[in-house]
Amino acid sequence: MSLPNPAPRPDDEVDRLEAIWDPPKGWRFLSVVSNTYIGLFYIGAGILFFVLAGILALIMRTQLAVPDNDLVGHALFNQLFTVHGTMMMFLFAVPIVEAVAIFLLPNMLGARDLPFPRLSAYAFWAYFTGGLIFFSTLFFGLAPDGGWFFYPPLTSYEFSPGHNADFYLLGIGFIEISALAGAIEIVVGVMRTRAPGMSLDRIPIFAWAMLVFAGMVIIAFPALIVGTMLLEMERAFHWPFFIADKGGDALLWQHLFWFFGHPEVYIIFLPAAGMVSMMVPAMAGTPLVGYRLVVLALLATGFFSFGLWVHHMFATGLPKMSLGFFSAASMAVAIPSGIQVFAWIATIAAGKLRLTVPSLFVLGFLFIFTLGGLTGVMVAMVPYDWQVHDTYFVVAHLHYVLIGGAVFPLFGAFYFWAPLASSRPLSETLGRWAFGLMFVGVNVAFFPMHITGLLGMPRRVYTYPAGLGWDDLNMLSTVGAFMIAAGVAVFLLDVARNFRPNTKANAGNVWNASTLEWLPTGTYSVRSVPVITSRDPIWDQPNLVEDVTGGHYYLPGAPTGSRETIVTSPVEARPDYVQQIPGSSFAPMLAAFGTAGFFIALTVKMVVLSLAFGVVGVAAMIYWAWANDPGPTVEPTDVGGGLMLPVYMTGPKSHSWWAMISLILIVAMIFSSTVLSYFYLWLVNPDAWPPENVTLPAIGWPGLTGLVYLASSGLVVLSGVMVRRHGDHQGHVVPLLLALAVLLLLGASLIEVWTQYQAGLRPAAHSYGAIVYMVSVVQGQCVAVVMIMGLFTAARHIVGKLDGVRRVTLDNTALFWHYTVAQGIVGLLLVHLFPRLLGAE
Amino acid sequence: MSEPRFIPTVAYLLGGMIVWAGAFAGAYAVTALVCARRLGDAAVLGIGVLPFSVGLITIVALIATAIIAAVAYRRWPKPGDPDLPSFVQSMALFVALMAVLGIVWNAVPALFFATCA
Repeated sequence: MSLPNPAPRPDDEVDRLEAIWDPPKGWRFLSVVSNTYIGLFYIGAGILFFVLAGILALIMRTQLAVPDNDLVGHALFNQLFTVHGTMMMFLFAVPIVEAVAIFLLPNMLGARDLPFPRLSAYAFWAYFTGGLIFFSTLFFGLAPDGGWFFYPPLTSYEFSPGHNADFYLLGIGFIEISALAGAIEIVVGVMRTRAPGMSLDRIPIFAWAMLVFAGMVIIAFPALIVGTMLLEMERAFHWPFFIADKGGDALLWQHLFWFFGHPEVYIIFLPAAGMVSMMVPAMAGTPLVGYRLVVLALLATGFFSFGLWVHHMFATGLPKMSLGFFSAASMAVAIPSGIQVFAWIATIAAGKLRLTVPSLFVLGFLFIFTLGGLTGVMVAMVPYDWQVHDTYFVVAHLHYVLIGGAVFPLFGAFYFWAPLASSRPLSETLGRWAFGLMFVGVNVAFFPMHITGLLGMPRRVYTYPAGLGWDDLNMLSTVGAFMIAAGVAVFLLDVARNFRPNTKANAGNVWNASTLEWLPTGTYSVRSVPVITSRDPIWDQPNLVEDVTGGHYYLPGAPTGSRETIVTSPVEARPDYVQQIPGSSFAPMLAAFGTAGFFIALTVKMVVLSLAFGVVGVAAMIYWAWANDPGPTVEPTDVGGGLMLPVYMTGPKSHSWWAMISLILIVAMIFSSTVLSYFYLWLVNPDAWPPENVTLPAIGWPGLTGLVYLASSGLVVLSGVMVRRHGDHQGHVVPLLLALAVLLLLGASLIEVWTQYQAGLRPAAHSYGAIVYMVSVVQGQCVAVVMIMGLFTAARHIVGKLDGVRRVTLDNTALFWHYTVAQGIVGLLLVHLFPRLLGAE
Repeated sequence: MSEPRFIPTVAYLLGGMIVWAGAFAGAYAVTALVCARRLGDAAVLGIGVLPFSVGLITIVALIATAIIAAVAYRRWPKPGDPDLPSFVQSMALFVALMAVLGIVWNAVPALFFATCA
């Protein structure tokens, strides 16, 4: 094909690109939002939390090295294992794979940045601040101590009256926000900002893995959000979701937590597998064998992993047939994992594997992860699990799969992709030492635990008596733990000696790999956006590197004068429009501090302070959002070869619409989890739904509420019609309509709460009342957000930033508005109709 | 050839797995309901209610998945077909076959211990 821009480019074009993309200098550097810098900050923070959580593990292993030890008492030990697990799972494993994705994906896809850079910046600062605060609770004796899966009733108000448990519940709130923000970013980035020609069958496997990751986060994390909300409402206001005497059920927490918790481990593993699928072909010098089967494996693992959660609950007395389903699914999920392993082995066999440090970590991963997978199939057998549940056998299994399946690929990935971020690659020699110490250390630390567990040592004990046969095994595990630490220390030494961050002159394609992230880049990422015709473009497309760096492909300059990338269609990656991407700003950081302060102050019950932080956070977000929706600042522009692309898009083709849809999916999952909790509590209260002394409000009230909701939606539809038809010539009618619609929406949600209250329903008396009010709480959160969005949209119209063409703000607000109304109506049908269907009056 | 429509394409490609998810959720929900209300000993058409329900769900799911697989097989790429459409067809078939594995394997407990106890 002929190049879009075959002639030589003007001399000053690169300088202009750099002027637009270079980060601010001095202390303003902290306002960066572009993916390269945020990605590096994120990776650094992830490594920091990994090291901190690892130190906690070393303290625990030292305590357990000999029987009857008194280095650490039981209270502190409980905090140590809780914080170790919570940090590793929430502050290291998920954030770091997101971090690698934020750093790598735009380059890998041929884009200049992610579609929502300020969102990534917000997610990072929220995560970093929240994580540091969470870790520091250890120094104040305030660290949570209920285990990383935090089961009530131990963690409810009766048995955990202090603030410790609240730090867990509100603490992981940050992580949830970061993870979900990252997921939205990744879905929109992978689906809409690929290089032209990078159709679905040419997407790099790491990008496929991150897409599946993001989809899983969107479906799984909301269950955890609902669980933590329920437990916090129980602790703070005594709403009895988990208290059996009042119609609650402790198992509800377990279902909600593990519906999240099992996909969580595949959320961690699949991106790591994606990294391996990039490293193996590069190291073997041959394309990945079985690309479609590997994509199948990622999709199948993503789906099947949602059918496993009860395997964490085999010992709770659930019906045997139910256990059987989950045992079967737990076996089935091994098949797609096996497909990936065989694809890698076949690729190694088809090529010639260079035994570099990344290769060593991949081989180590194959060995350790496979062993972990085998013990996983063992514990999938219900009777076997009954024997080893809550023993060190499970600790051995989980560390083999997590360290093997995530940490080893990650360290391999650091060595593999460091040349992209650093002017020097990391050292092969130090890397081999790090690998060797870590590989031997993992096996020495965790293999004995299989035996220790079978010999009966329970999890989470802070000490044990001598003479049970556990003494030498524990000492061995401790030695292994320190070997792992030594390996990590060597890695950190390597980073200190060799990693020199450089976005303009990195070490280059030292491995001769084939995918786009290895193209020469500057702060502006690629010099021009290439057209892709292969899965391995650098190997298959002759002169690709020279033509991209010469600016001969699309968008070699910056037609709008701001940061840009090309938005493409989701299936075939045809160019749709040029997106104007926001630049550096302190607003996301301020919003993150406001969010952090809000949650932390709420945790220690300083409500006024919490509200103050909340106001700061929301104000920062409004300031940030005000810069959105710039409108078509220039006419459709020629990006090369006569291809004219608009610089603005609204409606279903817009990247922001896709983000709203992703957000709606998240909120719908939160609502669904609440609805399923309602049905679960009904199941465990067969004679009391509603309880004896509760009368249902008259049916006319929800009817009225539903009509008010619909009227609110109707006014929004009318606003949209008026804006589209009359542009900006209708004075202040539209803002008035929107303000009225806001009042109707608020009114509807309040009428529902009022009618329940007037009917005598109280949330703290029984789980029935608690869950009915919870439906309103979830609805209320959406209503609050829509109110802000509605008033914001009205303000945009008043100052002339919203008209018939420039209407992304209104279109996106309307989308979420109609969803909230629909959710409200479904909630009404649930709480008012369902009990009547059972015969209540 | 214009860009294929996104939602139909994705729904088709993932169809088998979506059916599996529905079958799994349905079987688990029915079992939970039956056992929570202590109806595990009831019978439908002479078969225990649990194996009956799971069997019915499984058969419906297998039919749905077989339809998707058959469509994808009929459109299986021939040599020389353009890359993307052949990718979509082959993925739809692979996903459907994997789903069949999952659906069948998940029905097995109903054969061996269809009890609430």
